Amino acid sequence: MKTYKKLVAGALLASALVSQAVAQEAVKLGVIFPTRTIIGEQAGHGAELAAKQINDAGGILDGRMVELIVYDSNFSAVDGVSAAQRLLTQDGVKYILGEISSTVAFAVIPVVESEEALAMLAMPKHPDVTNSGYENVFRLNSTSQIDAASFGKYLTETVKPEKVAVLVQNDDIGLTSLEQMKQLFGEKVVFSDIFDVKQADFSALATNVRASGADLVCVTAANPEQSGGVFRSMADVGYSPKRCLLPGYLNNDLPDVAGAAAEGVFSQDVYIDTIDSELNNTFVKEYLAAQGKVPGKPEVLGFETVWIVAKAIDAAGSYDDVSKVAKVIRDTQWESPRGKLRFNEIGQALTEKLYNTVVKDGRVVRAD
Amino acid sequence: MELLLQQIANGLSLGMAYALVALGLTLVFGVLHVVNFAHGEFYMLGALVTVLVVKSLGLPYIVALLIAIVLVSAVAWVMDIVAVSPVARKPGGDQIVLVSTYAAGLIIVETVLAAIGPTPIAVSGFSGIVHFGSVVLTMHRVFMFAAGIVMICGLYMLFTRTNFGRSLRAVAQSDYAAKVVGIDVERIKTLTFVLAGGIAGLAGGLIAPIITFNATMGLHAGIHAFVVVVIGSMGSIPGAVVCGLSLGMIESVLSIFLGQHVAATLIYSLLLVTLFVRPQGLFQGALR
Amino acid sequence: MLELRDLSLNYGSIPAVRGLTVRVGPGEVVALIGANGAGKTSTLKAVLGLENAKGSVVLDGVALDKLPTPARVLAGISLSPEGRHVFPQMSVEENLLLGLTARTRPQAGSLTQEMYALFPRLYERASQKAGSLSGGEQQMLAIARALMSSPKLLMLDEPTLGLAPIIVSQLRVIIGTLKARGTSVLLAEQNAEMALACTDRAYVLENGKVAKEGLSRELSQDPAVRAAYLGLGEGDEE
Repeated sequence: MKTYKKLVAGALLASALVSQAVAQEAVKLGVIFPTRTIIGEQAGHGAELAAKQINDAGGILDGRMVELIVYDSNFSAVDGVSAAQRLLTQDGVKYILGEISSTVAFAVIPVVESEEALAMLAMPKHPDVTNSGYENVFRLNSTSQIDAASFGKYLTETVKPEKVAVLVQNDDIGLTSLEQMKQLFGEKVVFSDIFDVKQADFSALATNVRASGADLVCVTAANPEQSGGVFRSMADVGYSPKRCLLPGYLNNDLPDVAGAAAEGVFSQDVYIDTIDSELNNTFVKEYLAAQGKVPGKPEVLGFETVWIVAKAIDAAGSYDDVSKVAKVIRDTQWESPRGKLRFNEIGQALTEKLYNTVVKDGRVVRAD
Repeated sequence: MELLLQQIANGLSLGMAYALVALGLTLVFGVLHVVNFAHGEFYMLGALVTVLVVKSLGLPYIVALLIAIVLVSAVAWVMDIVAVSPVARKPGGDQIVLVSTYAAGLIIVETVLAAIGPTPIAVSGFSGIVHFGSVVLTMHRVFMFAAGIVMICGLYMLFTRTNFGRSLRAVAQSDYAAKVVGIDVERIKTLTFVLAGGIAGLAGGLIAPIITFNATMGLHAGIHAFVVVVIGSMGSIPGAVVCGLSLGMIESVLSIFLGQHVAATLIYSLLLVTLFVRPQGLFQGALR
Repeated sequence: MLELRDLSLNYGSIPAVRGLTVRVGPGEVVALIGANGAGKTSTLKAVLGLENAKGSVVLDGVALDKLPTPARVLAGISLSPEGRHVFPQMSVEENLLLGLTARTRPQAGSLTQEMYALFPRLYERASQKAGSLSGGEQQMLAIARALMSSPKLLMLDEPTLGLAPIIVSQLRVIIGTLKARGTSVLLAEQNAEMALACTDRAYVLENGKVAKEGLSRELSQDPAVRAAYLGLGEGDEE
């Protein structure tokens, strides 16, 4: 049986060499994102830019081009699994990159494991995404635990509020952040409320939170139309306490949506486009040229999925030897637009720190 | 007390938004006796047109509103020709229309997503704040409320003082009798559908500056409107207005005590209670 | 005036009218009598274009077959339908206004006054909802509404159904008035006695066909008609 497998592998290798010699067959990477949402679209653009940069520089594995096969995971576990299955079985892909949602990631990982493939996840935040036990799963985003520890420290040591109001969306992210804020501030939380993820009008909520007299209002909302709606409605009723957004959710869409009402809103994130490094300057410039917008975190994490996996395949010298590629990923210190990063033993990306960010003159900038 | 007054004011503005979207839906149900599942998408398109006209063409907001009314009416007209009239005429058509309008709605949303993407787009209407004693409202909410009142009065005049309005109510009360007296029933139905589209387009344009445009806003608004229409009795214009305003007020005022998401969920509970206790709705009776 | 030539109408595979030929002259009052299901209502609906029939409907020498209902109303045919079908949520006055056509709209005021003169009860109830009227009043309203288009031909479908005798006799007076005004009337009635008493000519319909036709006063003496439709046997004078 073993010999048979080796024979087949040998034959495959031979045919791969032949076809490479003939056509320079592209290196296929599977990408899943909720492509019809803003964040999915942004991350997808980042991934495309990485493929373009690598291909412009001559490709990998001796001149082969990187080709992305992108499917819509639609924020749905069902759609995510069917996209992953199509990539792994029909398209013959060994690497699944991308994704925003932890729920989708949880559903996709077993599929990846059963095909002995590799997953490089961009945005899922749930701590357990990297605790599946399958070793070829990597995650680029910080986890909610990493965020909470960092942001909690910043709030208690630097911001030092007297009365805190917490407004969160009604889902696991929102409710978890509400719990964390209550643990962090205890009695100082004078007001909290939960709103529906589809809510459109926040005037009532803003009126109630104003009545609480809080000097710090912390909001957890994934969509800028909602965080923007909250901050705008607060400004409309003439209420301007310190305002923060849960780490990871502050980007330039907020000032775009909320205008002047977003001024001064602060947060923390793994990336901010004003980081001054050669790699980041190039990244920002090329992204701006391609999309007409400054990139944010989804773009950079989408970029990293392709950037790191393609470079690791190149360094490993093999597309099919997934374990070897995984080992390269684990053993290398990677350079990315957001700085240096490493993966720990369970595949979690670690950077040196989170950046403090704030909205100033209609743009999200570094606060420190 | 101050808080209560402020929440009543918020509720009136929220409720007017509900009523504006519900109006067209109930109108179509009253006259065509079909549920237009794409109604929320007309509302979304109204917001989209307003946002694009202001942002891309740089025209004044009021002009954008008028363009939104015209363009969304035109979309409604096309949809009536393609997905409503030909289907509704067939036996059992009123049920097939649910599917055909739902499909048309999906096509609209997907087209918008493909064309402009999922990015929310903010647009400013009238800026400024208005104080009524201790109560504060933005100028735009006041304008939206006033425009809503003007539109409701306008519709009332249209329905009671014009031949078109009288014919429309005649069709609502009896297709057959309307045919007998020589009313072109198909034409009235098409015009009603177009009118409802125009109302939804105006609603979208009026509400866009308050809630930020995004391509999926129609779905949620459509469901809300449906709840308002069912509670207010399907086909009843006064029912839609009164229920829209009441639900907005209930939601705002209750948010003081119950929290936002409980208050917002409450209107679905009211829907259930209504269906159990008074399935015909609170304002039974056709268009008056 | 009105001619129906070889008119046929099927509901699915069931024939309702089979090759009917009927004439109504100018200012003439003609009855269609027959049992329930004989094809009276179907005939009237076909004349107004409410049902698609084969054959020809000719008004004053013009074939109406291609025209939809609104154009036929405009051309001068109107119907007071079986079951009245007034607009229940609207006032009497609004019901009347809905009977106007583009042609008669300029005379809305005088026509309304004319109807109130013809039907004084409607004047008393002008602002009342039509749904709150009695059956007889609703029948008056349906007829008045049909007259608001100043029709050349008024069709009355079962106007006496379910009405008290006193109202039936009022209806006879009204039909007489219409005749005096020169309006042609086509009356479909199960109440053959009443129909024959107030019309010039009549057609007896059976199974969608004309079984007999003639002057009303002669038909009312016809033994077969008497037996079948007047509920009277030989020599059994009322």
